[in-house]
Amino acid sequence: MKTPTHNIVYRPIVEIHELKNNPRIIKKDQFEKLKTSIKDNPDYFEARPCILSNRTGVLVVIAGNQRLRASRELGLTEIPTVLLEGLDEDREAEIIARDNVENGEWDYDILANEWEIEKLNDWGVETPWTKDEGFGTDFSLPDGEKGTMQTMSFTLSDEQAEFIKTQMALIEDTPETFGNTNKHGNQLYEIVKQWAEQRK
Amino acid sequence: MGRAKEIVVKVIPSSVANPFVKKHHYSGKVVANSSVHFGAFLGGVLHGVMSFGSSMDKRKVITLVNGTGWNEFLELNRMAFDDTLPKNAESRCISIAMKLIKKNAPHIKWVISFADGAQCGDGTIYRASGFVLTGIKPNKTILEFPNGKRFAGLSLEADFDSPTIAQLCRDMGVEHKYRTRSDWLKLGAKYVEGYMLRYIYFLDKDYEKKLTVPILPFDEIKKQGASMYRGKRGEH
Repeated sequence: MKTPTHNIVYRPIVEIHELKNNPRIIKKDQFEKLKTSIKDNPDYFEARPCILSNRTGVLVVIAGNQRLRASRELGLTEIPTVLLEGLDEDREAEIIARDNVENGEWDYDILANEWEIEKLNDWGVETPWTKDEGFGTDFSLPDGEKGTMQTMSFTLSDEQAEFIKTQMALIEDTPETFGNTNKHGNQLYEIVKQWAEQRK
Repeated sequence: MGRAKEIVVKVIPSSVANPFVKKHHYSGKVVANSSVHFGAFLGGVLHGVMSFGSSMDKRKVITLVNGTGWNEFLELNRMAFDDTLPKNAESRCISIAMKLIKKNAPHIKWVISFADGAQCGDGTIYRASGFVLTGIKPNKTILEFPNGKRFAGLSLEADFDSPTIAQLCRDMGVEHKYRTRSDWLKLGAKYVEGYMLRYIYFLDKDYEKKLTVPILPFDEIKKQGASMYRGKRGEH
């Protein structure tokens, strides 16, 4: 059996520095879940320690910065770490990036059928489903008969619209309104009626 | 599985319904004039949506049942479920939705729906849910374009000024303007092979007697070669 080349060591939290310009961010609620996870699962934290580099002469976390922050807020005095010595800047950057690559994806059908969604959410797994946010069962739909008026809409160029408006404004007398009180509607009807009569 | 009984049906806003329909409905599209959406929840999580609204060609559809008032019928125009719901879930959801319509909108006498036997299925769920079959017609609704995209004829005509149709025109290399279905057919569009099946559910059973078209026996689907199940023709 292969022997590990690195040992997990509990180091004082005061000796460990956060990575400057850490490209990873965490939402507040996810951070709270991380804190709960560290508090409730120290064994899991130990099995997945923060990775440190001493390239600059101090111990800097290159994987596990959110866990370091969470541990500080929880008041932990020491955390599980693994020190990778002799890293150059490029290799450090690679590890920082690789640590945050999410490989694989969830099979949401299996999650939905075989896992408890509330627990998954508590554990920080974001599920894409919409939850029942207290939706009700009441609604209303229009009743009664169709009205005798209707609205029509057209798409016109500025020039066409201007021309039509000008012509409509010339119509003063609109004898056939059929009960319509909309001035523009009556003017438009009158123009179309006159056009139809001319075509007879 | 007995979990179908645990499904809860609630009224949900279009902001919740539409993204789900776009993701899970085979067309990937929503119907703009849906006016009430029901969500099917299992374990507090949304797994299905049923959208109801006015029919696009309301004046024509209303004549199917004599004595129907302008606002006395609805169309079930989108139904989408994910794969996690147990067996029989869909018909149970329809049953609950119909009860909710009866309670909240007692003036609704019947509900029409169309099964797309050209792309999806011949209406197994409707038959299991108490709908009657009132029509089987070769598809003259869904057109397929040379770029592989499919559109309902009514959408092409009514929403011709939408960005989607503008994109279609660009893809086809033609001017973006209003076109009839025959104009599109001349430009290379083709009707998708298959059938459209029309189903009606009577909330008010008295209205079944006022149906102006005959009720067809379900075996007529097979006889006419209109069977389709989960997008596969000839299966029932």
